[in-house]
Amino acid sequence: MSSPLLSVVDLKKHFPIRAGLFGRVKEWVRAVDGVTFQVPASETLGLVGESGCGKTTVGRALLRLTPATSGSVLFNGRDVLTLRGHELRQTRRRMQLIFQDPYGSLNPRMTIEQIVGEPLWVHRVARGSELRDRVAGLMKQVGLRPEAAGRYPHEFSGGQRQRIGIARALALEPAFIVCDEPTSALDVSIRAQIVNLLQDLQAERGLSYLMISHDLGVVRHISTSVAVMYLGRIVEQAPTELLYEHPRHPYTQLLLAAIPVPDPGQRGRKLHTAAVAAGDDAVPSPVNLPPGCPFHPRCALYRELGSPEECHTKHPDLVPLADAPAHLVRCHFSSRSGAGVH
Amino acid sequence: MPPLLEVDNLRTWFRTPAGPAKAVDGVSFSIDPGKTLAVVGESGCGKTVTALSILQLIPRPPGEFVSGAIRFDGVDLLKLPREELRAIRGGKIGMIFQEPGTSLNPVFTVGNQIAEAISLHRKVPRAALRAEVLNSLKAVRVSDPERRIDQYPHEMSGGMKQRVMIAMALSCNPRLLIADEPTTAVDVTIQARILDLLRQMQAERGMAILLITHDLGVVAELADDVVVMYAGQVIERASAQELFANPMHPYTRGLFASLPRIDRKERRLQAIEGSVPAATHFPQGCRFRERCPHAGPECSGEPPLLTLNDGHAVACWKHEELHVQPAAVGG
Repeated sequence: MSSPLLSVVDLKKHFPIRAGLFGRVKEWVRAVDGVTFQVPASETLGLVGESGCGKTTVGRALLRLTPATSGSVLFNGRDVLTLRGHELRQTRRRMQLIFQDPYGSLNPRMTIEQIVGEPLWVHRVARGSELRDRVAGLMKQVGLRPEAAGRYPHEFSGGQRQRIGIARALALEPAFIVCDEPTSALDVSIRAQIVNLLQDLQAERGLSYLMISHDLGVVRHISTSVAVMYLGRIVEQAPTELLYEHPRHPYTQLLLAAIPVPDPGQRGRKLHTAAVAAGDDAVPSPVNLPPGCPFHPRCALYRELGSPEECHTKHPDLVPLADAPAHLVRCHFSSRSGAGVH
Repeated sequence: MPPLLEVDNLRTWFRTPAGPAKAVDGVSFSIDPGKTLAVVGESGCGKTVTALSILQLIPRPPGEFVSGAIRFDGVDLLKLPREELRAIRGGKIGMIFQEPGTSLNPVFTVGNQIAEAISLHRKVPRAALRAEVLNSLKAVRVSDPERRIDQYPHEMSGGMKQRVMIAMALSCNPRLLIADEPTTAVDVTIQARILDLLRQMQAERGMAILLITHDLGVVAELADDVVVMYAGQVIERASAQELFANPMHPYTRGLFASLPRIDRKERRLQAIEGSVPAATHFPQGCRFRERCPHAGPECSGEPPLLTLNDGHAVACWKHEELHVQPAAVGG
């Protein structure tokens, strides 16, 4: 593994819940509660988890689209969260974002040329005919015809719009891109086009990605390593193959077992076990976290081991496994979770 | 055994300023009692309009049933008077939708809404109604039904709301359940629970399920038979086993090849080029030909849906040629 391009240390983002006439803070939502990870240059870290786990907030906080509560985000060795003025603007050019919704993230009143060219214009990189040439080049790179530059977003399909969003993110030649569910609004056949495009661009430009997604198939395909989040914390992190082949946190095992495999021969094999293991339909909220390990109310291993006391009294740390130092697991009983439901 | 539902050459078009949008254009399939048929396709292929046409939940105008018949138990639903249709809707045919959040009424408790569904179709005395609602919640394994029955939809998670929708759809013991993307809006662990529940409900009650989905994993878990739709038409039809083992249409093959799998790793995904054509401007002849790697001159004529051995049907001029090739792609 090369030296990290981006290093996130103990990142926290707590949202206040205000109530009453004067809007006093009643409680805090611990959306992100101490997240630490690194993204090496030219590699992809997948960040997975179910809705409400805080994965999108991580992406937004490290780009400073929402102010972090505490922690640091080192990009090329400098803390992004404390930068100001000129330095912040310079750093923002190097860190970009691709959004989930290709319909909501493009201004319908701007032409494609204006959308893709806006970052160049704002950062005073290019003007006039040079800007038009740069936009045409970007459009070609993402597989759009440059002749379409004068058109408006509504004239394009979902997949083409996602290409426009990617061209805009590439305009300032970033080193690092947060991809927030870039394929989940797209159809299967189009999804593959966008995944391939992201991989090609990474190979050509040496980009690093933080791939935020709930789609474990896409994440496996594109990521070098993967972090799994549950209720604001990373519960397991490992190189991709290790995580998918030998998941050690009961939550990761549950997630992988719950995905239906497109093969009728394997029908029902894992799904029923996963359905039983999933427990109640209600995921605990990040406002009132259960004491101890936040996953214990849904944990199959906890039930199997006869409700050990540590699990509901003590919060486990994210520690490397004895037999695999690159494999981090937040579970008191990771030594015994080898089999699990998977 | 006669089929429970028979959709025969259905055409549901919509009038638009750009000409008729042929959302459903000559679709035929049938479902046997107690079986599950999955209709698969991407957005805009006409699968939801097909489902809505069965219960005639299509606004007319701009919608229009241009031709076809929908026979349920031998009776053509398209010719049925409104009153009789209403008795079947929610009675013998139940339906659940993709968005449980927007399908429930936010100003009534869920118990209230299930009670309404029951009293519309069955004669249940007022005094017994609450017990009946509790039963239907228990049937779909809602935890703590005594408390849930008096809750409003906003007090529930997405998975719980979908469970309430299923309770409502099943409260009148339908013979056919239409499930339109029942798990698209929920997380995978909740999806596993909902799919497992649907399978149990089917085993207990022997109802047929028409499953509308774009997720081939969900199809593999539940379906007995599969219909693949593209641009308003059925392009392939087979049993689930047969379709996954031996997909024939280039589009179906493309769908399988473009799936990233969690049970194995490939270097590069095979994408289908281009995008789905607009319903007002379908190409002449084979509607997939502009995106098809195998298209030839014969593809400018419309291919018929040919039934081959074992009931496997495919609408492709080149299926024989492609069939002898080892499926380089495919699941």
